Amino acid sequence: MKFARAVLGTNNVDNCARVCHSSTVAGLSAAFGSGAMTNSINEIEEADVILVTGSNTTEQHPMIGERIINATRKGAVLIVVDPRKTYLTNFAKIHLAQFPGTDIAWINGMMKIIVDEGLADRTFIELRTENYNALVNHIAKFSSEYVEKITGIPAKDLIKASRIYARAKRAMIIYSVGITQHITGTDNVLALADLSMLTAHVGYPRTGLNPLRGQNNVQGSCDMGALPNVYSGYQKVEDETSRKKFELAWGVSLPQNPGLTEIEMMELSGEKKLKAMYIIGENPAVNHPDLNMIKRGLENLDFLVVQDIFLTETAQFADVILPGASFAEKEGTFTNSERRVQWLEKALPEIGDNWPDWKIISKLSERMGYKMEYSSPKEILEEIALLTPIYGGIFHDRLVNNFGLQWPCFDRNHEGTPFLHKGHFTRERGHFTPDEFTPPAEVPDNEYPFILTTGRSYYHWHAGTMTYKSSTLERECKYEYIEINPQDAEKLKIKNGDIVKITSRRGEVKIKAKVTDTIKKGVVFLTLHVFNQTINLLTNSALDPKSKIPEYKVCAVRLEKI
Amino acid sequence: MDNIYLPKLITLDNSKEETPEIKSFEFSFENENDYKNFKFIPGQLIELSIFGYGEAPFSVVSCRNNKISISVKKTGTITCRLFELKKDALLGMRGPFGNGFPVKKSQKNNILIIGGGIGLAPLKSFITYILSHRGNYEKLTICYGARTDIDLVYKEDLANWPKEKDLDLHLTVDCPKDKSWQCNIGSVAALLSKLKINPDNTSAFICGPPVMIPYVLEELKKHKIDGQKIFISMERMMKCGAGKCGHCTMGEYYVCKDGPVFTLEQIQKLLTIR
Amino acid sequence: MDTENRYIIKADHILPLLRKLQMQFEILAPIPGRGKDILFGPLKKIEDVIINYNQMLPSPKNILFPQIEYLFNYESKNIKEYKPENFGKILFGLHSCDVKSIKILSDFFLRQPIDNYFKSRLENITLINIVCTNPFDTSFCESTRSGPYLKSGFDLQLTPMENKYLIEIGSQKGAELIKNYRWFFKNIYKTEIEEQFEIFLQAEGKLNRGIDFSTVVKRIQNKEIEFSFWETLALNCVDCGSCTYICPVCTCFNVVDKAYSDNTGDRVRVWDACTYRGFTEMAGGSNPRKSLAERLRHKFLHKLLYTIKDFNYPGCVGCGRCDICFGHIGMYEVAKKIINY
Repeated sequence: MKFARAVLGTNNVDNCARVCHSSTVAGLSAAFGSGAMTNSINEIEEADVILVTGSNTTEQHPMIGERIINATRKGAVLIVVDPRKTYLTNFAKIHLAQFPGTDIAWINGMMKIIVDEGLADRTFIELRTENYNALVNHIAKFSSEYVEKITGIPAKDLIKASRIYARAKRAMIIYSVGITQHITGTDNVLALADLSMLTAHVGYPRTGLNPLRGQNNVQGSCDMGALPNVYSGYQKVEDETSRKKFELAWGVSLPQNPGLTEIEMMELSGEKKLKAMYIIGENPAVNHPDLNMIKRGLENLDFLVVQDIFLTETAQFADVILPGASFAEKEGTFTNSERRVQWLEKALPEIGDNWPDWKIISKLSERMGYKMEYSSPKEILEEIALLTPIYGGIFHDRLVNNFGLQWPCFDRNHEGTPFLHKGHFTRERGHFTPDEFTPPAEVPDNEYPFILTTGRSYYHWHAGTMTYKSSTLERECKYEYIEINPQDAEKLKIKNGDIVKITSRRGEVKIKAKVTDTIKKGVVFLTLHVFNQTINLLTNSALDPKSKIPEYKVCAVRLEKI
Repeated sequence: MDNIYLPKLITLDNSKEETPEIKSFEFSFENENDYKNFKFIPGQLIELSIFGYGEAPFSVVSCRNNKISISVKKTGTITCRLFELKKDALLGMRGPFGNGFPVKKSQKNNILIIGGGIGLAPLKSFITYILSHRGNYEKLTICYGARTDIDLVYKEDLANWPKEKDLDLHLTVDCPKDKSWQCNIGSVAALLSKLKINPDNTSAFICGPPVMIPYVLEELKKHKIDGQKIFISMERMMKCGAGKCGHCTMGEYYVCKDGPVFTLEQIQKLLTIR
Repeated sequence: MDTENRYIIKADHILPLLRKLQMQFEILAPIPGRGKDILFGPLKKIEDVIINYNQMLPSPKNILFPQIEYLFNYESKNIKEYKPENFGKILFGLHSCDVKSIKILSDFFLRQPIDNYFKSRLENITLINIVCTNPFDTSFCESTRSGPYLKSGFDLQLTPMENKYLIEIGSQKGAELIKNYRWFFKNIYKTEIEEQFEIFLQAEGKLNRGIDFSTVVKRIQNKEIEFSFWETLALNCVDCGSCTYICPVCTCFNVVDKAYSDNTGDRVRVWDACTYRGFTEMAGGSNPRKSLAERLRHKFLHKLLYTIKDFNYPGCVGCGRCDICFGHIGMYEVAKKIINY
């Protein structure tokens, strides 16, 4: 972000959280004042009630999934809200299967039940939150019957789940991209925040609203201000005091207006309004939704630099490729889902001519006339601590030989923060936001009668830049299917193993079918990792207006047997 | 000491379409010594290498005149690649592996061969062996079935075998495509139920798709054939051929070392682990 | 007890001995890694060696049976075998269970047909273990007869005593080494052997865990363990394969080709795990061990029944490494569950 802002002089900097959890950052910042997991991972095993939604935890966060299973073995009650029967539903007391894209409806429905039955925590609401009355007025229309009509969740199940969640002493919500990757992503998160505040399940240990981040350091990328609107530690670029502080430290004047987000940049370059791009460690040519649009964007750039450890699909479009070092060949810090900053030791010498990313960036800026003189990542960490209050006490010597520190950590004497919002919210009072239910950008119609929702496979990592290189992982994932409900399959005369052509408004792919009742009627499911196929040809790039996250999770498709 | 993982070079000589899905391939040894050292018992396997694609196990159908042949059904990556190869393509081969059929022990016995689909491939090498050592064996009965008449392999042999002395060939298909089909219709097991078999002096040899085997065994039980004289060739995932990699383990056995031919008794023991 | 194959070396003389040995061998030993890590790797500076380590190290399996082994290179008609490097290596400071695990690996790889890669590595390796006077909390090595001390299977075994070590010869290789550096070693007194016996007893007494393997085996053989037992275990398994990768005696591997062009490439073998779905899956998709429960059962029966049938010992050295399993499906916990089933 320093390179973008101080050297290039632009706020057009973004990171891959845009397509996974930008709505979390936007939503949680608005409601609580901090855009991150409120509690810690090891508190999961001690929770009384765990509500998991939009997360196939055992496949995507297996270690956390294992903790959830262990929690149920210790007596915790598990509620799963997911259109699919994920593995966790085996351990769940209640599984609510909603239609993809109807999350606000069931969350509002739950809140109405809780308010109506007097299960809301009035003391907590009065002392620590604001705007409660607006919420109550808004949710009045979300009767269980109305919710059932929208979501397909039986009213009696919703009532049961609401009671369990509200009555628990310590209840935790865990969610992931099933909540965020919608055009209502931010609203979904805000609604979950409302739910947790309503019942005082936030601000205490073993409670909270816990987004599971997808990568080891995606929290770190956001914390470090690789975002168009904030500097490191979520200090707004529009805020003059923050800007002045960074200008003084870096000796340059910085742009004042927030920049563009990833998908917006791609769209603009498609229209030839954006000329050059520098992509580090991302593979949008596979990962981003509506790939035909992305490819147009990459092709129309005047100049593209790609920095990666392998020659990715995106790098094929590049004018210059800079070879980066892999995690094992460099040192520095990672910040994980639970805000834990951990020091990474270098395990291998650099292989070949590659450099660690920090070195490439500082050398590049030197040649572009801005001296970025760092001797090591330790020194960079010192600059971060100086300019970023929440990282204020995080120094190299405090990170080695332990498991790191959880921000906020304001100074050297601060021990870090296992759970947020103790005593009061980061933004003083938690803010209730009434959220309107909006259907997904694409709803099934006669031409495209099915909802396609996407997920990921246990065996592969996003674009497969690394994991497709492992023969063992490739073998494990050879047979990916499109999952179809038996009733739908019967109508279309599709049998297990038949090849099916899936068409959306943007593209088509062909894949084997798996007829299974783990998926709801009217919905089909695909992972993004079908070997040799790019599923994102199908997905929709419609954006959430608040966080600009694309709607991966819902698009309308047509199926044909071939 | 030879390195067990090093393949011998062979080249693709010719291929012949048996059915729309099955082809027989004949390869020549690059090095004549490899041919001379290649001593195989019917029922044994080789690991065929397509360099860049990997290895897969196949039963040896025949090996003579510096040539080795196998039959292949198009299923996975390696077999699909094999179907694309042109004449003179360079391949690798390791083997033979496995125990093979008990050719010596079953001498002086009536031989009952039961095959389904491509399962006839390993059995064919045994039939050929018996025909060339005809005096050592008594009556030879072959029961063979496939989905349709088009899916029957080795059509030439099927036409020639009945001309041999003391050989009964019974064919059956599930659903004949050719209207003039004159043989049986139905499963191999159903075919067996019609036969008269002397249980005392008969050894049975089975190879076919997994669905076929339990029904066939049921029939053989009715015929009261001794469990020690029923031999089943088990197809398994195999990688190294030497009982090292573990892919072929089946209970306590390594199929590529202890198999692929097992007696019914051995297999029953495995089934009772559960 | 014989005094013949036993000698005494003063603790002060261990480093000088290693320095001498280093001229003739490459020494692999416990060395400090980054942070608090201890690695088992090439000892470059003799002073770095850590003799009394009390954390679990990765098993030495990787040294004899690398995670990725290049078998041969092919280039059109040329097939070139890769030969493992053949200079002498000493593995110094192993724990007893790891020496036993190498014995188990060699029994398997060296039975007919012989695995050349493993064989030539083993021939060049000398194993020196240290008796664990403070066994780990998670170990149950006495139950598998692989620790805290060994009766055989090592080349040399060191027993830590006050300011000195008792060194035992377990093989011709070990005897040779002592002979060549005889001036480092003193003859032993009978009392010192008694002292060693005391230390053995004390070490055994410190073990927290024990499993009666014969009961475990009997219960399985008598078919007392129903399939539902494995199904329950499998619910907690995320199929990560770590238990097999970390296990010092798991040997399964996969063979794959790494193609560099149409007619050049390497054939390699890589560690594999029998718990993976694709492990037994055949071309066309049929799978003899379809469910995770069947695969887990196979994994445990292989260690508990089949290895015992072939070699007369269980396929486990009681090191407790598989305790890392988050789903509690390590050998100790499973064996305990079988006993209490």
